[in-house]
Parts: sequence; structure tokens; C-alpha cells
Amino acid sequence: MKRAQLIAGLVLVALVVVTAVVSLFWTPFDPIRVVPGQRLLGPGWPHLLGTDGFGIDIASRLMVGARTVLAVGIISVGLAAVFGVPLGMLAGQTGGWVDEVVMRAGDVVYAFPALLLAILLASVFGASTVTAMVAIGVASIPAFARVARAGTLQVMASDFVLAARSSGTSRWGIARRHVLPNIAPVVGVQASVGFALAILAEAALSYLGLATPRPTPTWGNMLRDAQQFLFAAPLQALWPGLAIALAVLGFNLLGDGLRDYLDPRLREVP
Amino acid sequence: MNLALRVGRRLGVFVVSLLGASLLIFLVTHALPGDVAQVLLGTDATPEALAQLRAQLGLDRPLPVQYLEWIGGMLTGDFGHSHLNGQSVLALLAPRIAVTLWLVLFGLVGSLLIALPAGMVAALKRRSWPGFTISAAAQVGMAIPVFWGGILLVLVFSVWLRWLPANGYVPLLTNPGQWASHLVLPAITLAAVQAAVLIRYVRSAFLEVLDEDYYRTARSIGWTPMRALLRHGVRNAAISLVTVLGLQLSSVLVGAIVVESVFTLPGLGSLLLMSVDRRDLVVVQGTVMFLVLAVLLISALVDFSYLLIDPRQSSRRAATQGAGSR
Repeated sequence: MKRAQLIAGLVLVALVVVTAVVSLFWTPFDPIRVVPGQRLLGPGWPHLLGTDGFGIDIASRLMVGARTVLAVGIISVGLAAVFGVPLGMLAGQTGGWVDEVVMRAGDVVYAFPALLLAILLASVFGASTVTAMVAIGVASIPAFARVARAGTLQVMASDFVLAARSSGTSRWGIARRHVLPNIAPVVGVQASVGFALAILAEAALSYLGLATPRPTPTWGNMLRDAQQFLFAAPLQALWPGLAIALAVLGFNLLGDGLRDYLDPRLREVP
Repeated sequence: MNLALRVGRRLGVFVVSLLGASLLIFLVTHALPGDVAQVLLGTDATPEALAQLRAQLGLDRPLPVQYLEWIGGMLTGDFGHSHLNGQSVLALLAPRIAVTLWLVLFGLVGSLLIALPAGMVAALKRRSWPGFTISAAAQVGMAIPVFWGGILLVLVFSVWLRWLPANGYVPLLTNPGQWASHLVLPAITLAAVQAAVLIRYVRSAFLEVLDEDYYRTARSIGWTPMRALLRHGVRNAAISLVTVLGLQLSSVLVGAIVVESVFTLPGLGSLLLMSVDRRDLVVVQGTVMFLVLAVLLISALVDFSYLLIDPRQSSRRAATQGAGSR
């Protein structure tokens, strides 16, 4: 059961990655160029999923959309981990007022969902893929900090850390040699779950026009376009949503599966 | 015991968070290398015109002065005025608050109505098909973006069945029937997506209860699982659920903003998106501050109610260790 989850997650994630890589070299049709004569075709041959309101092949746009998903996910999760994990370790290892300040600051950022941050950034700089990445990344920092802090507290209470401390290992040495390797698994699980959340956030932002703008295809802005033709071409609104749901499901299953695989003692997350 | 002290401490945290949030908003909109005057006038503006507009908007003064003025204004109920048409931000917000409030309210209540029974069944029947089905449905539901859920509902109920309007809004007092029919789909959208997340929390909250001694005692004296859960479980599970609801609040609000856009409801979310389009920074800044204020205020109230439900707990963090990561 648990193993099936992990495998299903891996398969879905691999599907997204392969699609994105293939789209770098080949798509069935040009994903950008407008073709006036063939607007809103239904599914068929040669346009497997039909064409959109600009006459562009939907399957090709979906494939290219996978790239944005991966790029935004990797950058924003990376950003969140690079800032969140050291902050959480610092808070967990030091304790006292440092801990209090870091966690309170985390609470403040927590009150700012990625959407509000993206809105602030877009109103100053204009909406782009970069503002979306930054907004999602910054908004995810507290989650990583919390996971890292909880893990650090656990490790710091262990006997091997006590032994290291009494033999004079520096704080930095303990962090590097004992804390980091031991919290890596939970951070990995958080990264997978965070990736799923980042995909959802990016899709919502580009649907709202707060991230990657046309003509670059993203699954979110494809849905934004499709909604205009809901009565004329209802099927168009299915494909990009299905792609988002499968990708998110994949990363969520991977995260859950990894959690159980890495540490069977860990109970299912509430 | 020292309840007053705890309440006072929580109030302090609330004020500090509010200041932190306002500072964050201010820094993003002012200190980053973007220029409101440039944005408003476009790239071909003359330096003189830029300087004049900056002076007019007070942007030529030191940042700390600008920040204090903004904060001071908000304390006296002045959230600023639109650069574009001079309207006060609060006047822009006022007629729209009701729309968003209805949506958030129905979204929350609806998600509870779905998630509580579903989560309870998922916990009780965790080893048989109803439990698996509910858990799997929740897993799939969590992967569905809220706006796509809305679009799918529109496809079914507006495009194919033609039962409900696909978008728009009618105020309650103008026509209650129309009001309801315009809110049904948005509310279901928000509730369903929120419920998918909640079900997991409800399930694990009740799973914990199933492990408790008082539950086993109740079962051993012949109570049915359902009766034991309802009598003992609900209040105990409520503690972690109130916490989760508090944490979920900002995601419900975000969901509401997105759902407003799907169904073109004239709420706070559509005001925000419109203002971003027009680069009306003062309105964006004021509205975001207002929303964050609402989130922080309600999360403080949740913590207070927490002290009342379970006086043993001194802080929310104690109860959410581990759970906070999701």
C-alpha cells in the first residue's frame, strides 16, 4: 500500500520531468505561433487535444507548460530550503530569544500567503515568472524553518550530540556532522510536499495573471484562456487542470511515500 | 491561573506581528528598486514631472517618515487614497467586504460540514473500503486547484445543465434568491477544496482519540464506537481542529480571492487584482494590510478560544508540533 504510493508518485513525477525535457527538443507543433485558420478545433488528428483560441496545438502547449512547473518548483523550493533550513537549525540549536525571534518572524511571513506576496510584487515590478518564484519561495520559508527546527531539537537531545559536545566539538561541527545529515530526510519530504504546493500556487498565480504572461504557455494561463471559451469549447478547460492535478498528486504521493519509506516510525501526518 | 498573563502575552504577539507585517508590506512596496511615480507616469516621463509627482505623493521624504505616516494614518482609520482617482481605500473596500465575507463564511462552514463526518468515518473505518475511499478522495481533492474546481462546476451546472449562473453577483438585500443562486457554486468550490485538506486533520484527530483510554473504557462498557466518539471524541478532537481552522484561515482567504476571480464576484480579491492591473499601489498596499490584519486578528481570537477550550495548553505551538509542517 505505502510502497504503491511511493511508486505512483515516482511515476507521475517522472512523467512531468520527461515531458518537460522532451519539450525542449520536440513538440508536435509550434507552441507559440498563432494560426488563425484553425481556432478551437476539437480533439482529433493531428491535433490530439485540439487547438486553443489562437489556433495553437494544446498538446504542445501542455508539454511546454511542464517546464514552467519544474522551473518554478525547483527555484522556489530551493529558495525556501536555502533560507528556511539554516534558520530553523539556528533556532533549534541556539534556543532562547533567537529561537523566539526566528519563529515569530516565521509566523508573520506565515500570515502572508504566496498570493498576497505575489500581488505586492506584481504591483511594483509587473507580473512575471520571477515575481511568482520569489513570492512562492519566500512564503514557503517558514514551513522549512519549522521542519528543520523540530528535527534539530530532536537531534540535539540525543546521546551522540551530548557525546560530541562533551568531547569539544564546535556548534558548527555539530550542525554539519550531526544535525544536517539527520534532518535531511524530513527536509526532503518537506521539499516534495512543498513542490506540490508550489505547483498549485504557480498555477493559481498564472491563472490570475500574476505570474508568467502569454504567449509563454503555463497550465494556469492556459486555463485562464480556456475559460473564455467555456461555452464554445468546454473540453479545453479539462486538459491543463488535469495536468496540474496529476503533477500535484505525484509530488504529494512521493512526499507521503518517502516519509514512510525513510522512517516507518513516523505516523501519517495529521 | 495566570490566564490574564497568557492573554496579555498573546496580545503582545499580535501587536508585534502586525507591526512586522506592516513593515514587510511597506518594504516591498517602497524600499525595493521600484518607483511608484515611474510606474504611474510610464517610462517616457520627464524628470521634472517625476519629481513633482514624487513630492505630491510624499515619496521624496525619508522612508521612516513615510512608514510612520502610513501607520499613523491606519491607526486613525485612514488606509490611504488611490493615486488614480483619489478615493479612500476604506471607501473602496467597504462595499466589497460583504461579498468576500459571505464567501469565506460559507466556504468554512461548508468545508466543516463535509470534512467532519467524512474524517470521522475515515478514522472509524480506516481498515475497510469507506475509509480508503474517503482518504483517496481527499488525496485527489488536495491536488485539484481551486480555480479548476470552480471551472469544472461551471461546466457542469452552468454550461451543460444550465441550472445556475456562471458568474456575477446580486446583493442579498436586492434579491435574496438571486443572491443565493450566484453564491452556490463559488461557495461549494471553496468548501470542497478546503474540505479535502481538512479531512486529513479530522481523521488523524479522531484516530488519536481512538487510542485514548477513555475511548477504550467507553467501548468496553458496551458503547457503540459512534456513541463513544460523539460523547468523548468530539470535544477532544475539537482542540486540534480549532487550531487547524485558525491555520487554514489564510488559505481560505486566498481561496476566496481566487474563487472571486473565477466567478467574477465583486469582492476584495477582484479589487486587489484590478488594482494590481492599474498599478494602484496605495490601494494594493491598503487592501493587503487589511487582509493580513483580518488573518492575524482571527488567529489571535482562535488562540484565545483555545485557552478557553483547553486551559491546560498554554500555546498553540505545543499542540501543533509536527502538524505545523503541513
